Amino acid sequence: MKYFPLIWYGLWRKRGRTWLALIQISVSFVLFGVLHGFGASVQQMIARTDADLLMVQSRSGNFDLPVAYSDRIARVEGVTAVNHETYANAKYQNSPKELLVVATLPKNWSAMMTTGVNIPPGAVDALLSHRTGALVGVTFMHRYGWKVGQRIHLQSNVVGEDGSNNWAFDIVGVVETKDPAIRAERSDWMTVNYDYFDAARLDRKGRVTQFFVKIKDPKQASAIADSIDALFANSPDETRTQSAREMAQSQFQAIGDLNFVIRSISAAVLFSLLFSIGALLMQGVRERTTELAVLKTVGFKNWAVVALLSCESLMLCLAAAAVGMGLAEGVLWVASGRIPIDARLELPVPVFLMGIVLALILALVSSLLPARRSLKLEIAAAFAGR
Amino acid sequence: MRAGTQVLVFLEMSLGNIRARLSSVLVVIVGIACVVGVLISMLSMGASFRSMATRGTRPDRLIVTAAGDQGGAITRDKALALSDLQGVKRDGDGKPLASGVLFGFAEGRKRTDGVHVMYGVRGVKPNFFAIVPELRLTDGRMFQSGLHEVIVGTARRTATMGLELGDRIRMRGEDWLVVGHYTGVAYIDDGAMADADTLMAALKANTFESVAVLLNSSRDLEKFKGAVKANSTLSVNVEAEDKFLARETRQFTSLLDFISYFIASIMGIGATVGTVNIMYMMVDQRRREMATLRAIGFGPFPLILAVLLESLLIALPGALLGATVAWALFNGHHVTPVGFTIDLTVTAGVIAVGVGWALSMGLIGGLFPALRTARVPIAEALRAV
Repeated sequence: MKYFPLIWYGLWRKRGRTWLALIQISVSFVLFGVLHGFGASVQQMIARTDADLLMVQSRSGNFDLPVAYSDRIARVEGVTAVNHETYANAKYQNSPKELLVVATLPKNWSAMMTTGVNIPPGAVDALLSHRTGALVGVTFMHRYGWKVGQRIHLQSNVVGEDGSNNWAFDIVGVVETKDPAIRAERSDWMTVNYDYFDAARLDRKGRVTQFFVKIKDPKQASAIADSIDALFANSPDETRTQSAREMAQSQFQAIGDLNFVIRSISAAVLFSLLFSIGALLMQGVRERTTELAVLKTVGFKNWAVVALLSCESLMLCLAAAAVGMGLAEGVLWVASGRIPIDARLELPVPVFLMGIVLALILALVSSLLPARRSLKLEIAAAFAGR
Repeated sequence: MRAGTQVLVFLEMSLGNIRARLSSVLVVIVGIACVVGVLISMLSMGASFRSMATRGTRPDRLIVTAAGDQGGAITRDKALALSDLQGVKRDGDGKPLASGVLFGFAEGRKRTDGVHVMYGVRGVKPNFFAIVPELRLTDGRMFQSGLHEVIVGTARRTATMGLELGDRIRMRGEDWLVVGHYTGVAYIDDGAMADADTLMAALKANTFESVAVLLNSSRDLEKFKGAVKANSTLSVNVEAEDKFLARETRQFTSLLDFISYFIASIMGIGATVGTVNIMYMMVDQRRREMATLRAIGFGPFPLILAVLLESLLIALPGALLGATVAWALFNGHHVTPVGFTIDLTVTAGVIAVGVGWALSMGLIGGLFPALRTARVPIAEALRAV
């Protein structure tokens, strides 16, 4: 500790240069933190998705399945509950933004959505007793200024029995996503009665977009998925059953190989940083030839001089990395919910630790060359200015 | 000595003894190369996607969709009414060149890693090739109405296993025979094609998702739109094919572009700050030299200019290095982010953006150090000799 003033002095010998280096390193770690925090948050989201929830979709793609499958799926061993959802897009008045309408069985839906959605008491009963009712996400309530009890008229891509695209629903309740960090942006759907929706549409009656299946034992997920698919093999409506986690994983893969991109960019950033810091430290050592010679003269061992230099670069890198990742946390916090991904963004502790370790490595490697130069320093020659 | 000559003389001195400052120069080059390399690689993805998506499209072909953006339904009646409107081109027999289009989806495995992908199978009228004359068969033959036969786009065939002539694909539990391959329009090449009526029967659908219409000329677009407006039963959106695809892809590419520039900006700030630092160092090292020049009559302005030029000249090879690495790594590679195969091309335009960034980083990075040269106190700097 008694050498601290010495290190401190060395660090701030050229004030402007040190500040610039601090900024450069911090900025690099902002990028590191944002990218890795984003990647890790997506991974965490995948890990959090329910492993005991299966989704049954049509193997023939964006098409739908017969609602009658519901009973046959429910009889599969290990299945505890079945629900289905059917989706429609709609627009309200002249707003260019689309609304998602989810037609489902309210009872089963509320039983399955306990983890993700806040459903006020009585809302499900209100929906059941009101054929044309709708439970609306808070996002829409705010966006369009709707009130409970109001009748809303929508334009949908689904054609009604009368051949028009006009649909009307009565708002009977408000629902919202549980996670407060992403609630405002992610409560953007409305739930309606499937029975009414299916009866009132012209086409594709008796069909649903997908089934949700709760199972007893998450470990049995793939076996149960296979037996569900086997039920409908070689029928006109073959199914593909995946766990919600698998789905999230493949969706995430669709964004591209995110981790590869993140790693490549971080590598490029740290690589150029290494050169920069190395050059700065080298210049520092060059300019301080005389001072280092003095240190050696008064009895500092070679290793002590090297340690002093390394400590300088360690302090620089660690402080800047901490500041940078702090800023990254801020950026992620602001970005949460503003991007089309169902995850709260944050900088997890392992990523922070990884950043610190990288800063350590950066500091030590970049001080290698300067250290070598200080080792080779001959006292007499240094004083002579040679 | 004139100012211009002074700049040149100083620049020549700087570049002449650049060997002595090689490590510093290299640091700047590497820093800038990293930024430019990342920027070019990422922008290329967006640019390639954009040009891929609209390749082969034209303004006198229209895509008519149901009102409501997400591809709603168009009934057969509506499709028929649309094909009889003003401005629609007719073939030799007087039949309108318009076809309802519906989509089926088939599942395949990617050739590269065996991962499942879905791709679209268009159901079209047999005269579709007359509506899209850019399309041609590369081998095999056209599908026949009434039979479960498909023809497959060459881009889809390259990306997916099991789509050779005679192979079968499965849709809705039924086998469809691959009888031909076609190419010509990028967004259509990425899928397969079958007879509309046959596909409709198989999918138990009775509506189209869109209608493709060829006009006499792109000038007839307004006429056609007017006719659509005049008929109140037709609630449809009409858009030229090229604009439609550009719009469809814009959301994705603008997100990609935003991310590219966001990352490049942060990296750029870091690299610029690094450049400032290194340039300061280089200027500091040459205080004596500069003071000497000032003493023998060089003006401050030529020195400032020369330092700026030097910084730009160092940034340039950095940009070229970054561009070369990005080009070598990514040009000509295929990526399949969303089931849509992109041939990555590193275009001159994207490289120009990268070089522009590098030069501005060099300029900003050299500015403050250059101004410092003007403030070198001559006598003091010389005394240090």
